[in-house]
Amino acid sequence: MKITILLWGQLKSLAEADSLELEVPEPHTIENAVGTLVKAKAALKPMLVDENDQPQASIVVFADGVQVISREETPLSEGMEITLMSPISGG
Amino acid sequence: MLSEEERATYEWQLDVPGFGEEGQERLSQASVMISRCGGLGSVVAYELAAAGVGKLVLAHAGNVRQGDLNRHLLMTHDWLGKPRIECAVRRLKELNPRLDIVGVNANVNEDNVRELTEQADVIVDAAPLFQERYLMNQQAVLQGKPMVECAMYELGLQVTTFAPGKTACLSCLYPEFPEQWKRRFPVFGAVSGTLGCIAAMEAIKVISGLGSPLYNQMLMLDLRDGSFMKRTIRKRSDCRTCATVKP
Ligand SMILES: [Zn+2]
Repeated sequence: MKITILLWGQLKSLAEADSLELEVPEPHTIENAVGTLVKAKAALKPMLVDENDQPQASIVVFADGVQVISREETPLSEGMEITLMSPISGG
Repeated sequence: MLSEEERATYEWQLDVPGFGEEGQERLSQASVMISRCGGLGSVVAYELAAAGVGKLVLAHAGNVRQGDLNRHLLMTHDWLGKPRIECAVRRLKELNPRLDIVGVNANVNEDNVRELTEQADVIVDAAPLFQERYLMNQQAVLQGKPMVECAMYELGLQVTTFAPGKTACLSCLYPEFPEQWKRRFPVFGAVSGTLGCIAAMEAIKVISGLGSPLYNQMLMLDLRDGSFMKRTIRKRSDCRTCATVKP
C-alpha cells in the first residue's frame, strides 16, 4: 500500500526531506509504516524508534491532517498522508 | 475609555476591522504571563508591549550571556553578565512606559508556577524545557486560562492556542514526555522573532476577540523553504491533565 509521509521537527532535518512516498507491506498499520520508513531512512532511527525497534511513544502522528489518538486503532489506507512530528520545545 | 494619548499611540491598529476601541480597551485591561523571555519570549513581550497590553508577568532566570545576543532581542551588549530580567524590564519600559511589569528573576518551577500564572489572563509558553511547559499547562487547565503554545527548532516554528474547555491541552498533544528533546538547539533570531510575532498575535486575538485563534490547530512553518502546514489537534478523553477538570 502506498502512503505519503510528511516529517516535522528534528525528523525533517535528519531526513533532509519533508516528504516521501512509502510502499508499506502488510500489516497496514502505523507501526509498520514507521518500521518501513526507518529502513528507507536510517538517519531517522534514533528519533523514531526505541531500543526495541518500536515507534517512540512521544512521536506525534497525524493521519490525513488529524492527530491520531490511538495508533493501534488507526489503520492505513491507500494514499493516506501520515505526518510524523518529533515534539520540539525551542523557546 | 482610552485616553487621548492612548488613542494617538494606537491609532494605526484601532483602524483594524474587528478590533477598534473595544479591542484596545480589552488589551489595556489584560495581563499576559510569558516564560521565558529568550529568543521567543523577548519578541512576544516586545510586541505585546507595543500593542498596549496592560500588564506583563515575565519569568526568566540568569544573566545576559554573549550567546543570547543573536536572538534575545530584549538583551543588550552593555548588560552582559547582569540579570536578564532587569534588561528585559528596562527595554520594555522604554518602549511603553504605561506598561505594568512584574519581572521575576527565576524560571518557572513547581514552587512559583501557580503564583505567576494566577496573575495573568493569558499565558504564553515560550520555555525551552518541557518540564516548564507541562507545569504551565497544568495551571492553565486548572485555572481555565488560555495558553499560547509556541516552539521552534532550527528554521521550523510551530504555534497553537489551548483554551481549557474548548480545546486539547499540551498533555493531549504530547502525552508522553519527549525525552529526546535537548536544551541546546540550533536557531536563528529571525526564526524566534517570526514565531514571537505570531504568538503575540494569538494572545492579542484571544484577549480582544479579533479573528480566529489557532484553537485545535497547529500551524507549522518552515522558513528554510517557505512551506507551511496546519494540523488538527485532538482532545484525549484519558488526558492526565485535562480529562478530569470541569471547564
Ligand atoms: Zn489534555
